[in-house]
Amino acid sequence: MGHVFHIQRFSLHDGPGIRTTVFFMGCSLRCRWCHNPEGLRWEIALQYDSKKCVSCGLCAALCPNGVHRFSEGGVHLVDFTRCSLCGQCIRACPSGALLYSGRDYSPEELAALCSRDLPYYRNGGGVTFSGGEALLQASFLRETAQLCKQRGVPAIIVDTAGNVPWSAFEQVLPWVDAFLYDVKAYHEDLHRSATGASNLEILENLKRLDQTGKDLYIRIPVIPTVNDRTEEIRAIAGFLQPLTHVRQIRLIPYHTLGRSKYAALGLPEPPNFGAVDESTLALLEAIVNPG
Amino acid sequence: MLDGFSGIEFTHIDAVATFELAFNNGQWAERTYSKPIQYWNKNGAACYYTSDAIPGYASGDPESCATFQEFLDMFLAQYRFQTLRKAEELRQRYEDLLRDGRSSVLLNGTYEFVLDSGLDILRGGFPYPNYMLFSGSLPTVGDCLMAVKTAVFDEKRFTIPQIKAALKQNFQGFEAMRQYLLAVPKFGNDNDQVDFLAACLANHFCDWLTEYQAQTGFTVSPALVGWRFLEEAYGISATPDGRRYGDPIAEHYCPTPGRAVNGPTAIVQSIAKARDAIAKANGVCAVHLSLPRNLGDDDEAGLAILDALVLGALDSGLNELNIAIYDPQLLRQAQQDPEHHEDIIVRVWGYSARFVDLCKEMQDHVISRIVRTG
Repeated sequence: MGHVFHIQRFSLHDGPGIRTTVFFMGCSLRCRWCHNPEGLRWEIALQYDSKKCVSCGLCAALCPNGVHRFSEGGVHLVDFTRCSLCGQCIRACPSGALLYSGRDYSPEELAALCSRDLPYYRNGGGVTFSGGEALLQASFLRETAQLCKQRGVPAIIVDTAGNVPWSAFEQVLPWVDAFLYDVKAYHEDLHRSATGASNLEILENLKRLDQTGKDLYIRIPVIPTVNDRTEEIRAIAGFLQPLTHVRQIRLIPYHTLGRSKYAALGLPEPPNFGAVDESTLALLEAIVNPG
Repeated sequence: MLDGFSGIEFTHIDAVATFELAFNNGQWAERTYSKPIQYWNKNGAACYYTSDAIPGYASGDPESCATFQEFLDMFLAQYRFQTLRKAEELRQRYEDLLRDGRSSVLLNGTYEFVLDSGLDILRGGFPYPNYMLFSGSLPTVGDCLMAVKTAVFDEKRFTIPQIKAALKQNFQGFEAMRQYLLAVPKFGNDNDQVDFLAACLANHFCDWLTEYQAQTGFTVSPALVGWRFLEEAYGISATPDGRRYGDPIAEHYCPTPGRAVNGPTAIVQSIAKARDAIAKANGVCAVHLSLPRNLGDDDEAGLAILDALVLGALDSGLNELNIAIYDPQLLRQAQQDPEHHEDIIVRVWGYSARFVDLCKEMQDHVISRIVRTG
């Protein structure tokens, strides 16, 4: 069984064509700007969407652990630390404001869901396994990808940050056509302070992956005050330069879309790095994609 | 030109209104609200719309149903009654035309068959039946049936009288119930249960007209299209799918605007589950897909996505796909500042129009049906 927090159909930004993107749970990095916090933990947890809550009070009446309280003004307060994940409030919630942050899937079930859009997987389209870090569940990913291939999915992509042992890549290689590969920093100390982990293995894995001949789509998040200096981006570009199977390098400017999800999971609010200004972005773009 | 004497006749069934009648044993629902709208021409006088479905046929008291199947059968009885009444209406109009004997010379002159045979359209000069019955909005009815199935029969969360009480108030004071009903699976998301419910309605509709032809010798062609979605939205009460009064109703055989959240491929797959009915309707099933701009990172990528969407839809059994690309933000700007946006043309149903000429309600409908994409 694998843990997945979201399956998105008609996904247009995780590789070419029309794709279904599967978001795996669990991650070996702790990027301070993470916009998919549901993917940070492998464990399934309680999630609360305050916008959907109608303050009916059913959850508070049912919960055996006192997770849900309502203030006198009707504000719903959730104490995530008390939750035993019994699911009573989730089943009772009329509006879908309370839910599990993810779900267990068997490889067969997930491959069937990934095959619903088979007629549309043309022009490079197919399935993308993302996360979280998809390769932390490498054997589940391998089984699912193999079943997808057998069902006729033409192009399977893995979106990874690369912070896994090389053996994880080896497991899935026969069933994967291309990789979206995140490079967040070149300098190790910067990488460590920004993500909580060294990047030595990440960069080494990328070099080895290049030798396998798989197509590589490199993605660099541009985070103000973290890695948005020209020297840093130039160092990344210099590292990528000798690689022979890089089909695209894309800068992904920081955005704040994921911030509201932290509160929904009972996680502390992350820092706001602010918008990347356009002139900086143009400058960095010229470094990674000259001409 | 003899206006109104084309010899070609069509009429329609308000399917969601038919659901309201079935839900209330043949009578209109009691409601505490109503709003006039300015339709067709924003400068015209606003008026109240009423559905032209026919009240009075007692299809059964839904509160007496022990199972969802019984409830569905009651709806089907009401829907069959409306279908056959409309077919009869068409036949009557045809006989009146025949008795009158006039048909437009101009229109007859445009048909090669008529010119070759020397016989006009009323006297056998045109070999195909020209009488069509439209039944659009079935996906919204599917949503309503699915909501009742889930809330009343499967999960026993609410009773029919409780739902009726909420509809009477347009869900005011019943927001928790409304949210629950909204969370029930909706047509357009590739959910088999609700998609096949809608497909089953479309199948019955086509079959009844085949039976009608066998019994009367008069051919009425079924069509899974409909143009009264806006009048219907304001002409009937709130509905058990969680839809408030005035909120949009499905056009043709498309999802209820705003309710398809899995993107356009799921929409097409939902519609394609009715491919048997679509074939019975000779392919007359309009599918509108309003997509936002910026589908791909650049024009080439966007084109590859459109290409895959169209070919995939063909392979899935659709023979018509009406794709329009809109910028929802621009349309909202045009609502605020029509003077500087007079050039925007939008698809309405069978016709296109300048966006700024549409009434506010139709403008909102056009914006609400734009599919969100990842």
